[in-house]
Amino acid sequence: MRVGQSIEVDLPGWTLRPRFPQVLQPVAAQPGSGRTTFKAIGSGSQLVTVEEQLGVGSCKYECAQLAPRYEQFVVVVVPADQVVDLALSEIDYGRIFLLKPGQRVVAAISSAALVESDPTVVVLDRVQSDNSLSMLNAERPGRVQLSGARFRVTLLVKAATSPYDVVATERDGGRTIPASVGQVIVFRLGNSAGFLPWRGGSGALDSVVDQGAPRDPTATTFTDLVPSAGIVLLRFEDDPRCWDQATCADIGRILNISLEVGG
Amino acid sequence: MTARVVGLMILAAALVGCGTFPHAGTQPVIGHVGGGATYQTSVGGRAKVQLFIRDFDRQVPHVVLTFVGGHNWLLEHGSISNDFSACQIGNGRLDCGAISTMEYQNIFFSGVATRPGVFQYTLAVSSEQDGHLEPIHAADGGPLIMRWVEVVNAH
Repeated sequence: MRVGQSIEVDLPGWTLRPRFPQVLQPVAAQPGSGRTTFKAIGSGSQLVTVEEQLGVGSCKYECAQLAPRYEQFVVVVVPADQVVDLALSEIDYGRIFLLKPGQRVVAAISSAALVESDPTVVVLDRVQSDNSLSMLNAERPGRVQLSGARFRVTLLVKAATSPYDVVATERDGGRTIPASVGQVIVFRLGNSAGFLPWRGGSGALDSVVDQGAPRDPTATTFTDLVPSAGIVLLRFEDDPRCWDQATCADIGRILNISLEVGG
Repeated sequence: MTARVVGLMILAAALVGCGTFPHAGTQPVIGHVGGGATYQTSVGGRAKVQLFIRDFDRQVPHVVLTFVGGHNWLLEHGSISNDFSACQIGNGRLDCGAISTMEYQNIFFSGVATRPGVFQYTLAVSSEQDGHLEPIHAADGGPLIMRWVEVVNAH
């Protein structure tokens, strides 16, 4: 988000614990509703922790109290005149992101601490960067790792006309698809009436965050990077919506796809 | 004398009761099924069926699974293997023997798709007695069945 913009956090039953009021300032809160509005007052990043307080049941002797649950997210605020396509922070450690040339990235890390494995794929904008945010431009197709203190992400910049090397659908069920190490594969599996979205895949592939992918409610999409050579067996499943009912006659769908990955 | 009359009345009432309320043994068995099956494959591809049957409300001495409707998975696939199951596969059906109330029976088998098409399978769970199949029922009183669609693409 940009300086001057507002963000509403709507988490009923959760308590917000923002820690750096110089970036986000609470402007409105509705007690008991879990809804709080913050205004971005300065550029930088803010880790927001939300805590769910679980009620204690009445008990007389030995009481087992459930530990509160925590979730965290990071809000990255850029100057009002900046537009970014992707925001990164330490919370994204180890993740892989897909980009197109021309897209702009902000990383919540000092530009002085940022290390790029290939500074020609994604180029640091030194004018717009400061000691809290690094602004980068995706320049050309390639792969780059950004790292720094408690920060490491991989960016894959692919040509806008061909962001995926292989596109597989449910029609590839039972088939073996040839692939190569480093390729990006998207599995676009059509959703069916009466069934939940597809799930599954394989831990043998690295999941890729593809924020630019068009939203398609008729299909479930998995985007993966092929990390190593060999045979990869993938299994996708979707369950009927009635799966938890005792009278459900429909059974789940299984889709097996193999990848033969060359070096 | 009075005691004998009372005894006869109780016996008569019991017999009338038998006529009014069916014997528990004649009520259909209630059970639960689930699982998954290969949705799409190509000719020559190995398709899998992974099922479970459980929660029978009483023991069934002889459970049989038969395909009803136009397609029989066991006849549409070749090289069928019984991957994990106590059921015997033969004559286009699965013969699972006795299943008790607490039992959770897994039935995994696979086979090679032999021809392209869209196949709609319905597998019915029955109790066989003296060569006669008696449907086992789901909790809603309908027949206990498993339905799925298999799409076999040409190469």
